[in-house]
Amino acid sequence: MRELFFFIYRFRGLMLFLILEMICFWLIVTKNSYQSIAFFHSSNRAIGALYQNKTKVNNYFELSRINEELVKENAALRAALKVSEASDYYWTHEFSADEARLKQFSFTPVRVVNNSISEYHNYITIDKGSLDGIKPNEGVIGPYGVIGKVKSVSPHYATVISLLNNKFLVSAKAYPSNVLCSVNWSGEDFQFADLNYVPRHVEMHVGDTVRTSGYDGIFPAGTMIGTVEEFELTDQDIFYNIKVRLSTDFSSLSYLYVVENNLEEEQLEVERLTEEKK
Amino acid sequence: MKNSTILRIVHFVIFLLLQVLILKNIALFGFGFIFLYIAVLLFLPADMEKSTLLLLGFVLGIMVDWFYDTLGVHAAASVLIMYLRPKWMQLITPKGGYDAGVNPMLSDYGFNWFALYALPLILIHHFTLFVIQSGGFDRLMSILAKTSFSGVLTFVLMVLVQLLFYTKQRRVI
Repeated sequence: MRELFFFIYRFRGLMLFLILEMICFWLIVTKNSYQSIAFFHSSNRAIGALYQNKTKVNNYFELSRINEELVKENAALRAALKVSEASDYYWTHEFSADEARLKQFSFTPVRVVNNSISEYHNYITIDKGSLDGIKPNEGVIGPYGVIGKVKSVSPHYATVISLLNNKFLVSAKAYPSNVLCSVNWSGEDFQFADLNYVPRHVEMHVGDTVRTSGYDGIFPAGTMIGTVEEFELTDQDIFYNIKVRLSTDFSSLSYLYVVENNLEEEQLEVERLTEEKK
Repeated sequence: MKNSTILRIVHFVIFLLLQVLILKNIALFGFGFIFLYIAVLLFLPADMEKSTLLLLGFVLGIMVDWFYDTLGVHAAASVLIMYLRPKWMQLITPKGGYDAGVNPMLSDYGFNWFALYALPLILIHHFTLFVIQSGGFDRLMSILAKTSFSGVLTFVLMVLVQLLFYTKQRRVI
């Protein structure tokens, strides 16, 4: 027994080292079951508050740029309003669509309090949480297009998986070819992402636009993601290798919108019914 | 004794805030990152107990992780260099040995010794960090590029901080 204690004492450095490293790796591995330890993340209230104060100071210096962005967005919205007036008419008079369809998506404006672009798995913290009706798995979009998906929420804050996170896939369509594909970040440059699963029979062009398909029920169909920057197709490939220039500059995010799809449950429910009958 | 403990805690907090509020936002050319917080760990006295070193490394690492949303990653890298530190210091003992209670810094043992002491530990820390972050050795070239560039940046900043803010110390902190 005495020898055992002596042994432990002699190698206490090594043992403590191994124990601490095991704790670290346990944390790293279980980090993926994100919800259970959301406490440790920056949606945590104290850290959220610290970052928010920092953002307040930063925002003063960025006011002019933010104003400019808001003005541009206003202009774009005005343009869209015209189109939507026309489509409202179309829906109500030609197809008499129901109220719920017209109000399928609602948008909550939020402010970014923390953002990263330098990791392989990037997250964004926003200043609204469950008290403002933000729920996990809702989409987040910005003035220029897709940003990410809400991961976990606390009462006042929420963390968002950024599109710049290679664990996050977005169901997309390329136009004008209208082919279904998927956007995933490669983990290198924050301005570009990869476009996967475009079969070789499809004709691609540089400058084709990539928008969300809406099939995942998270983003409204047709939300901008980016444009095709370059593509490559060797003789052996089944799919194209395509690089997409993202429409959003992730290094300067300020105001975003969380998208709530009021019909998502209904869509999932009916899809589940089909799945069961198979 | 009491005084030096308080000073060390202040030291700890300043470097932590510097890291998470300012340096976290820096990414030179997309692959140059600065992790100056490990200076706190490298400046701890040479005669400090091994387990204390490990625990301090763990605590600081977890705090940095907390802000970076990378739970466990910085802690793992910090604990690793804290484990290697005493062994490395023993190998490169300067003439006359280490003074008790004195921080192993530029002003006491000279630039050459400090570079020999700090650079390998910084590189090991950064390499571990980037390997864990990318989840394996798949992007080895990009990891090595990031490690060397970021390591040099961290080292240069660490030297600058010492030249600017620390005068010759004999058991100050």
